[in-house]
Amino acid sequence: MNFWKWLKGIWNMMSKIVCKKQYRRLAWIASLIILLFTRTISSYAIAVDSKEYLFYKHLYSYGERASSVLKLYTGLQGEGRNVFLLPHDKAWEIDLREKDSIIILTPNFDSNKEYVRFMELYPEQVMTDIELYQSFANKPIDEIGPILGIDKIYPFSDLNKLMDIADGFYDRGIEFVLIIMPVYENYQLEAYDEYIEVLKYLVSRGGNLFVHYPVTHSQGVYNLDPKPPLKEAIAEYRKRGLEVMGIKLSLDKVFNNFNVFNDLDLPFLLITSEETRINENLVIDKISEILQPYIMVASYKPQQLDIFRYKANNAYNPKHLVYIDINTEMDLLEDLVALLDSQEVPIVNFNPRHYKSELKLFYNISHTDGNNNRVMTQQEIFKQEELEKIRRTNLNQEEIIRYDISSHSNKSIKVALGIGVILLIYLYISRRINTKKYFK
Amino acid sequence: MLQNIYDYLLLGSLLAIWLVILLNMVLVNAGFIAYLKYSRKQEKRVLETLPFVSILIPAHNEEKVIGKTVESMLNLNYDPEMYEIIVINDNSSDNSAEILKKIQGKNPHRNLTIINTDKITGGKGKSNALNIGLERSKGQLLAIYDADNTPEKNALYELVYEIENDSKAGAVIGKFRCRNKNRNLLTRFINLEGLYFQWMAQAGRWQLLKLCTIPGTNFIIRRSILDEIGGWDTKAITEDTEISFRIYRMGYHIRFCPYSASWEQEPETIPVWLKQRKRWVKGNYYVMIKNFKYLFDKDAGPVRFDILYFLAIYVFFFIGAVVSDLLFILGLGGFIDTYIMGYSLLLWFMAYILFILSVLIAASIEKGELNVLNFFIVLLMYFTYCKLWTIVAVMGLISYLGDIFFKREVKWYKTERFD
Repeated sequence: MNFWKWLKGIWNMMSKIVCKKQYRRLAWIASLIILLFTRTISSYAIAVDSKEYLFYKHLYSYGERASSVLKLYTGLQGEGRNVFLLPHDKAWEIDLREKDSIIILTPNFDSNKEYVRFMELYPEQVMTDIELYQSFANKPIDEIGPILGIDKIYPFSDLNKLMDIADGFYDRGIEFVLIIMPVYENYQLEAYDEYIEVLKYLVSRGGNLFVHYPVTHSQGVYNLDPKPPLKEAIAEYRKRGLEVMGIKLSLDKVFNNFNVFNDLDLPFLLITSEETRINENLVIDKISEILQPYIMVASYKPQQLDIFRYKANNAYNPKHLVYIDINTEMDLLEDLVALLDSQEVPIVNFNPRHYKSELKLFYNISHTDGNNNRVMTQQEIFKQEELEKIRRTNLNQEEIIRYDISSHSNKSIKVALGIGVILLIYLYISRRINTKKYFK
Repeated sequence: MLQNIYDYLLLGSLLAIWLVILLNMVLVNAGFIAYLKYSRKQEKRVLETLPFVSILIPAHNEEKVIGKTVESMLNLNYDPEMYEIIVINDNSSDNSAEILKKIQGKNPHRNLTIINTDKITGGKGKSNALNIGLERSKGQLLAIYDADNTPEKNALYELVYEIENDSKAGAVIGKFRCRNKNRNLLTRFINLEGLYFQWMAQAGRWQLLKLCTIPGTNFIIRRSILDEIGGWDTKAITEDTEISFRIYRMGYHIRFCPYSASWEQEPETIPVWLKQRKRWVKGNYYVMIKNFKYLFDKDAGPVRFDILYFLAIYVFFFIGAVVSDLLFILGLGGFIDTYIMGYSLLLWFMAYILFILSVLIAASIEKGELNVLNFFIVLLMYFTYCKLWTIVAVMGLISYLGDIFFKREVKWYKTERFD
């Protein structure tokens, strides 16, 4: 086996490929195929990244208390679409690509002259709100109903009642949302441990945890930065094995206070109606770029629900949540469920697995997998271990005592290192000795 | 207390391997010191009187190499009147006899004797052939060369010089080098192995304990010793190792002479290599077991270390290597569980580094051997050639045990030659 002969052989083979005509033709065809393939891949990539611009003139139309622009924006984001807000004065700044589109909210404009130019320039890419709503017309029936949420869960809430509700949902196969309050202190108390165990149980019964936006204006505390305590509270939940995947907050806070929840790994935003107006001096389009990865779910109280929208044809029913305060409104839950059942409006399951591609930008939701395995409570873990013992599958594990040789191993490594150094010195000496290399 | 039998086996094999590595490191150190001593020797190596030497060359079907061998023997830097060459053409079925006759015809005035044996008088292995040559020889010193050896011109002179200047030396061994080392990867491995064995194991043992083992070729021995022990043991398939033990038991030692070098042809294919090495392994087991009783005999002298050294290599090290490899594979497959923790891969890596360094040191001693190509070959050697040796050790042991249990006749396998 001659190493240089091998190299020479490879070189000769490559020369043949370059020089001989039939090989050259093959090489060209292969390159073409590779180019086409990469083009297809890149086209697909472009298609995935295609953007939708929501073109508007006023954030709030005359007399509007709640922004219809933002309502539509929230709804579209909730559908997993790649939507960006585009004020009319920045319309010509965007780099519109082939697969991108513009949605024009026509009632938001004073006259059609303000948007007709777009429609003429990009006839294939512009869609009005009417056309948009029509595209939602034939939504599958199991996607028109509300997601159910239990709001304002404190450590001192009626946890037994909560567990009963969860059992009820579980029996009906409903996956629901739990909005828990951030807890800032007393983590060492037994009561907190019990609270965590209950939350784990609720998760095991199909609950998905969201944190409530910090309530910091009570007791006369104003202008307090809510981020540090919120971050600590979420970290503590996660340390205890609970996966908090989103935050409930009002629409104005989404834009005015996005720094509070940004970089906390909370991909879902449960958005309630505005408590105050959004500051129109904000760079809305830039903020919408920052918010683009988030999955928004419009959230309503039961009183805000329009049950007839579910029954009407061509009604726009974006994904939405109905939340009920466990501390004050639990009676409403039964009524709501009964009403939905009577109107044959299905309750939509909240399942993070449906948002797999969107969640890639955040952490992996590790506690749910294809088999819908949830985090087990301590009782369940104990039960499982006892069952394994009964089945004699883990008896040996209790007796395992591993024999640790790391100290001997470390000593041996040091000795070997010392010997190695000595040998290196010998090698050096041998190279340097001027003996005319007598030995051959 | 460990959890199960596998833990004990793993720990035991680790211990065995590392003990042998440490032992070899001691030998490497000693070998290097010996090299420094040899390289500094300034005295002129002059013999006032040259004793008569009989060179014995046993040959069996060696037509490819015997001509060159005899020619080089005729060209030695030694008074032609003071040495004879006896070629024992042992039951050859090829053209060896014709080739030898031609050479004899070309050199009528030289002391060249050809003994042709047949399957009745010969054909019983190298030991038997040497005994035949011994009977016909005249010299008080006998130099033995294999049929594929071409010694350096001063090889014989250096051996004679050493034995004449050391009355306690029962034999003096020279070096053997690989003539066809550039043929392929296998011969390169063998070349490096030879350098390591001679400069580290042989020179190292000589430096520490005045202990060497005869390598089978390029050595000189006193006739008186052979007469006393009754010649070579025909039952042994590694007659060199066997006679080494006997020399030491007689109170002599075997001296290492690095100034005498002979070039020999090594196996160029793995099947031939496997057969040769299996024979060596079997032979060494035979010698080890035959002389095991001397391990506890104080009067046996340094032979005890040699027995221990053989035990360490052929029993502890190889068994440790095989067991640890098996445990590793079975553990990977999930068939067994071991509960030893704390074993660092760094430890294995250090063993690898020590191996590389020690072979490179041996290579650096010989002219032109410390180069980039050999460096890469050493890197590869650990995972390839060394693993082959493990296979050979197992095969040799099984074959040896088979010979004992089934009372098979011990056959001397002749190594195939190449053009």
